[in-house]
Amino acid sequence: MTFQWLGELAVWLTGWAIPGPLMGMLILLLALTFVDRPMEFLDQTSGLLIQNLSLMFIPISVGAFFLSTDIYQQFPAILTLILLSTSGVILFMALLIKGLEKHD
Amino acid sequence: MIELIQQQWLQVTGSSWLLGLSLVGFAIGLTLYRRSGSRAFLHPLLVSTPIIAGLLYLSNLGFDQYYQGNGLLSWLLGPTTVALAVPLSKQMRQLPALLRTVSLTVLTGGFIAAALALGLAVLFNTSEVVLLSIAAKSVTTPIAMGITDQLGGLLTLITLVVLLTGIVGILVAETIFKRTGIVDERWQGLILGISAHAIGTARAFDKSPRCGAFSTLGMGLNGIWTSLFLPSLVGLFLN
Repeated sequence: MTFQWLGELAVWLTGWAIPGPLMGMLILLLALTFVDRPMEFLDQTSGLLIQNLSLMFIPISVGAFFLSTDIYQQFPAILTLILLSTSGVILFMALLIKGLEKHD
Repeated sequence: MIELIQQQWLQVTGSSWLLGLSLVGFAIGLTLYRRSGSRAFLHPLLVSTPIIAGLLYLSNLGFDQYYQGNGLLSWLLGPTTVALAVPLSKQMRQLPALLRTVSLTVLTGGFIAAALALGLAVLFNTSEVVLLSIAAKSVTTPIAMGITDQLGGLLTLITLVVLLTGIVGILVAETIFKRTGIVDERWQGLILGISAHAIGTARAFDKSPRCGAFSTLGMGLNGIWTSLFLPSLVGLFLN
């Protein structure tokens, strides 16, 4: 059953401009809006996959320890950038929602 | 199409005993994370990857060899991205009533997250490849990897950047919610999902299922939205 829809994924992957799996997600989302509840097996399979998401990131994340020195030299800048932009956008959204609530 | 299937087949069949290394590393990371009561800085990825990298250095194995041996795990990311549609579809029903706040927050929040990161990258004068590899930082990793791959950034860097973004996000969000008086769990969840993707969503589910559901919604919508505008936005910052 799992492979049934995994196989379907491969079909979606053909030559689109946006990432294939993302396109697959959109198509599945569209399909699911027409059913009342996702089928049992779909629910279980997707739950299992999503719960183990971290495991699938391990191989590529290990690559972070094998980057070029050029990238490591820029690391303080990258870290500051993450800190500032993430805090900034959370603050912005919090204020936006507060503003929208007041408006109502 | 046939080439694509062949390529994926090779990726999966290239898996070897090195996959076991990932499993063991993950098990150690997960145990430590759960024992500590899910502390953000002890996220399983932050614990397990240095252990694995250390073992690879000690045993004189290259990253390429290890990565090839773990083809199955990397391949699973594709189907998992597709699987995100399932929890998302369950939240779609609540959407009409809250459409204005949700759509405005996702559209502006997702855009500002990327624009701020790119602007700061230009300000700090980082190299072009770094700029391309941080653009998708607020998007959940499987989608971020897809986007970064198309932009021509480094997949090994974006996963780290996405992970750090998620950790920073859940660390600063509490303070900001308190200061700005965001008490509604639906909005807390939405903000966590947009800014801190899956890590924010896991955190949101710790608070309440409702908070988690809105976080899933924010994460999913932002992933779709960002993949649409990011390629053109990045083009602006490259010149």
